[in-house]
Amino acid sequence: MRDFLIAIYEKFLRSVAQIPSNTVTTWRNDVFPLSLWLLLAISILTAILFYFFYNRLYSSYNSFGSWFRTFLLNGFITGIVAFIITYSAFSKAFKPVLTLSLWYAVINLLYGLLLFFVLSLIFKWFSTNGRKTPF
Amino acid sequence: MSSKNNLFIFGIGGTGTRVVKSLIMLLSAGVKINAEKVVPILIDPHETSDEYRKVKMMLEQYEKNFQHAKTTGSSFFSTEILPLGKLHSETVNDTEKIDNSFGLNFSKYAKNTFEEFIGYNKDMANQDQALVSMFFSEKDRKSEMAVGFRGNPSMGSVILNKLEDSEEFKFFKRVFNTGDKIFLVSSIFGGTGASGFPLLLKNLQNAGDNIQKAVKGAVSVMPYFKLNENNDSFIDSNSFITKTKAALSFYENQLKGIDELYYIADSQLAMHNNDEKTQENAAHLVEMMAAMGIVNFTDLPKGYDTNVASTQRDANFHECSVEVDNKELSLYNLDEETLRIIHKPVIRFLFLTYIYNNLGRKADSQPWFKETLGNEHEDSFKKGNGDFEPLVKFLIDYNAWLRELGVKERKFLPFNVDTDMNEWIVDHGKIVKKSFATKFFNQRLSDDKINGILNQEAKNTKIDQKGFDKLLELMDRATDSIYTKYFKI
Repeated sequence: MRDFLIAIYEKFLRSVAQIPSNTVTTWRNDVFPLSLWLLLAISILTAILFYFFYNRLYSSYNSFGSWFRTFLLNGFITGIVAFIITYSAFSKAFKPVLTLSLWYAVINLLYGLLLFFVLSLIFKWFSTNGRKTPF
Repeated sequence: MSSKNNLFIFGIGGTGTRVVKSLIMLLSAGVKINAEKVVPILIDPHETSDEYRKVKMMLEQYEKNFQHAKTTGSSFFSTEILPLGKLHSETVNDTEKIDNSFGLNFSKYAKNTFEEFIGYNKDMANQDQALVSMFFSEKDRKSEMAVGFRGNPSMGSVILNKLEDSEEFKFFKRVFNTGDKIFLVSSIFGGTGASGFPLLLKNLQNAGDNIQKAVKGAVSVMPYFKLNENNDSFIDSNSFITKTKAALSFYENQLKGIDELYYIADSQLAMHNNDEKTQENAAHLVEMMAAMGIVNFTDLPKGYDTNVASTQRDANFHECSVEVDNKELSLYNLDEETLRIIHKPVIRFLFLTYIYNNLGRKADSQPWFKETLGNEHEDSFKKGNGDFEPLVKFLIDYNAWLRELGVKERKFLPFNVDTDMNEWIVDHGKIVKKSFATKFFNQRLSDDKINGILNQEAKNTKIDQKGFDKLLELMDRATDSIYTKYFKI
């Protein structure tokens, strides 16, 4: 798990900014795991709501436009949630990790988009109205 | 293939044509008739009338739709209606074939004016001319045959007597099989129908053993409309009742050979424009109920002694009534038997029309649309051409017919599509009420719900190839589901 988190988050963060050495433990123990779980939870919940709730209530929700808006929304939510997690973790000394936190939010946004896309490809097969969404 | 149990329907005159039209509409919606094939034969000298041409065109569209319905097993257009000329028989050679028209080609037999037809000219002996003049006024004698007999049965009886010499009637005699049934539709108060009915019956009694013995039914439509005053017109609707009485007294003693005779009339007389050339009368409930008489005739579980001519059998008489004497009637004001037969088909056809004309136009993103039509058929579907054309044209005529039923008294208003979809069926009590819960759980009928049903049913269609047949199968399933969930009685 730890290696997985390092692979998907830390390596990416290190490639765009310097992680202060005194914060590495907090990132690894607090920020990454919570972000990942929330990323999964939010994306799954959004996909479920999209495919099995809104699509059942409103057939027009299965348009590509609706899917794309939900896709972006999911990305932004996961990004914002990641930023809030870092802020909570480093609230006493947030300024040194601000840039890093923003990059971290962007990474989560991208992962959110990717995950929602993958979940869409799975969930659509089980949705009556959304089985052709996004394509 | 056996052509047993065909039903030959002679639609005589304008009313005959209109009743046949109502029957086509009911059959298109999926009303079942107990006959393998229905063969309408329109006998109307007024071949140029819009109504006559429209009905002939509708029958042609129906025939095309039937071919698709046969492939898909759809309940819409499920009864085969075909022109007489397409009936095959071992006794008919290729050289004896007639054209594939649904009507008797009257213009071939009754050209120009009535006096030309009867040979009233200088070669006719003076005494004969005087005799003819006693029966027919100069106005009648000089009238063009192409617009019918203008409410004058005496003219009609002269011309229609030639019916048995027509190619179509000879062909009919050859293709008629033992077990086939005959139904005659006519009005009793006009010209063509009033004269044509007894004459045709007489011709049928002389048309061969199997036709003589065949089970025969007829509907005689009594006055249900009147015409406004028009001095230029040959037709005076004030004489309708008198003519009806005269014809009825004739029928009482002279009409033999009908096993089941249906009478229908309406005391709420609709007012029509007195224009004999166009005769643009709106469709009427009486015509629809007369068409239901044909359905009833094929459904009667009686055994007839078909070893003897129908003239030797006792006739049965039927009348039609409605539950209430209202000027406007809903589906639920019809008699129980009629309601049972037409309730489901007409509601399903209403939703077929709605889905095709409204919902389908904006359903590009729906799985049912993609899986049934795809990009390759989207254009044809939306423009209503190619395979989709017969259905689109038919739906236009069907909707016009349905609208017309609600125009003239006694109005038949089964649907009110200006309201919420759940309340479209007038007087249908059991509707899902509007509330937060029904909205939240999406229980009421809506475009979203219909799309959902279509998407669900699209998974169950058996036809693989995208296109019209797949769409028809889907519509059949989806409208059945809508009916069962929301409007079943």
